[in-house]
Amino acid sequence: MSAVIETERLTKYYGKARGIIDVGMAVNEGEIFGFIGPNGAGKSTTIRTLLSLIHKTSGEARIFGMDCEKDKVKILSEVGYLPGEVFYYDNMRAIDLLKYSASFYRKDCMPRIKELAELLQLDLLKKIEDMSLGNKKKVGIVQGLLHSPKLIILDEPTSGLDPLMQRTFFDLIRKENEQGATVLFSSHILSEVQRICDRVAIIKEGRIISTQKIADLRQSAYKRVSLTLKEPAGDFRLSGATDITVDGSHINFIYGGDCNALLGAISQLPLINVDITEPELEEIFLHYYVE
Amino acid sequence: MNVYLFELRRIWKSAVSWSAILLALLIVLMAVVYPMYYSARAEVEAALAGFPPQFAAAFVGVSLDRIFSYGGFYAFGYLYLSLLGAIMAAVLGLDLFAREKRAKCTDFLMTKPMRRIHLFAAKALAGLTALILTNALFLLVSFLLYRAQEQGTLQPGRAVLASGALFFTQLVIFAVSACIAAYAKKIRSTSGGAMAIGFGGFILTALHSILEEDALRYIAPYKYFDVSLAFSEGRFETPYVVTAAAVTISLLFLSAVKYCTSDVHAV
Repeated sequence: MSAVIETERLTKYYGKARGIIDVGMAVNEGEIFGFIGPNGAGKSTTIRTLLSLIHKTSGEARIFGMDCEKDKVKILSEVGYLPGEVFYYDNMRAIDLLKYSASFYRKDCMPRIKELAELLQLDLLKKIEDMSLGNKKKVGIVQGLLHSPKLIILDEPTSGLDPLMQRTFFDLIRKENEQGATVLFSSHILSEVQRICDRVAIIKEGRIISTQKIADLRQSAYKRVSLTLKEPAGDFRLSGATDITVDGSHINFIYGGDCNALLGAISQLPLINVDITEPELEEIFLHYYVE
Repeated sequence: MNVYLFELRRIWKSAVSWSAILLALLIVLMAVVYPMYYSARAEVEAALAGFPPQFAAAFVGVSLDRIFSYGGFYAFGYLYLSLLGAIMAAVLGLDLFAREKRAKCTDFLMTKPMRRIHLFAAKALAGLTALILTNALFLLVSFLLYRAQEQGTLQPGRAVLASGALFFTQLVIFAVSACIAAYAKKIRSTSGGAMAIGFGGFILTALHSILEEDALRYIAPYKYFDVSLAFSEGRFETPYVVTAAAVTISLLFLSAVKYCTSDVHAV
């Protein structure tokens, strides 16, 4: 399987400030590749370097085997990009913006524009500045996919979309993927990435600290557990639990391991309430990667 | 071509409005005010005849013909025409080259399959087209007014050259504004920025007139092309023409370098 995106020791400094350091990753053709990390970790810097929006300090970045800077035009003709926040020109209707966007590609994009607009329930005749954040995002989605790109780069794409539209969006991306598009999906929301991706790279403080299959990540999934007891809790210990804090009748900890063992252990306690939630990425980094 | 056409569509309203303002000022000055001014010549001559010869010479300077000539009056009005023309050029330059920065949509344009230098060239060409069309119209109206109002011998070549001064001045200001758009982190208001550039040029020009320091003329953009000399001798002064060309070319070059090489940060 050939790599659609390859980076080797890709580094970007903003003056003396760290952007990304020695980022190395390979996104294979036809896969949905997740890219997660907390805000400021370097996700957008990596993506913007790939798109030649910013210039690398050192290292290599290739898409479709071509250099991201030298062969930018050829590469971008086959890339669709959706940023986290979308902004467009003032005083333009969605259809005019999309027609302008389509004019950069040597194909008739109108049928695709209409198809996507219908799917996303987007009013093409409305002025973009009069649209809600979610509808502006829909314009961004159509704009990124109207030329049926071979590579779709999504940078925090779901912000501003309601849950129903998020589902439609994920279905759309899956469909594009089934039709052959490779997807790079950047997010700081672990569950989003788990929902759609095949593999994931985790970036922290500018460096890729792990690349693994989603299936493996699920196996080592961590949960934040909060218990409220009927009486003050005494000493609490459980194999697989870390970062345990006991405050009166409240117990909080991060749990990584067999869920049955967890449920078995807590069922022995005089419980009033149980919360088992997904920990923040920061917590995963803290308790899994650092330790 | 798509970017060129898009940019032309975005600037045409502003270009048409400014052209109308320029033409209105030209017509008012040369078709309404100048005939009134010229008709007062006999009265001025009569008044001067009553003055002692030395005083009259000092008051009038070289010749009454020059003061009351079409070219002389055009030169007087040109300062205001060039100010308006400069503001128009600055509006176009800032609008074209800071459009994405202002709308925060630089990502949109820069992730399209087109080299940045081609984007820059398309925008520059759109601005140039607007300036050429405006000046073609200005030249035509100006020439017709000259033919209608000139009292002496017609010298069409000189009139055309003098009218061309506006275009050359606009090119200089267009380059200045393109450079400001490329290097400024934020452009909040196109019209505010354009007024600042236009009046900045006016102040530099006034500074030269007040201090009468020759060196200052090199930074007085509305004095690079002396329309009075164009009417009287059919030429502009080479050192200032060279300065204008150098300023225009270097600023456009610097703008292109910045536009093509700068990092586009997330907003």
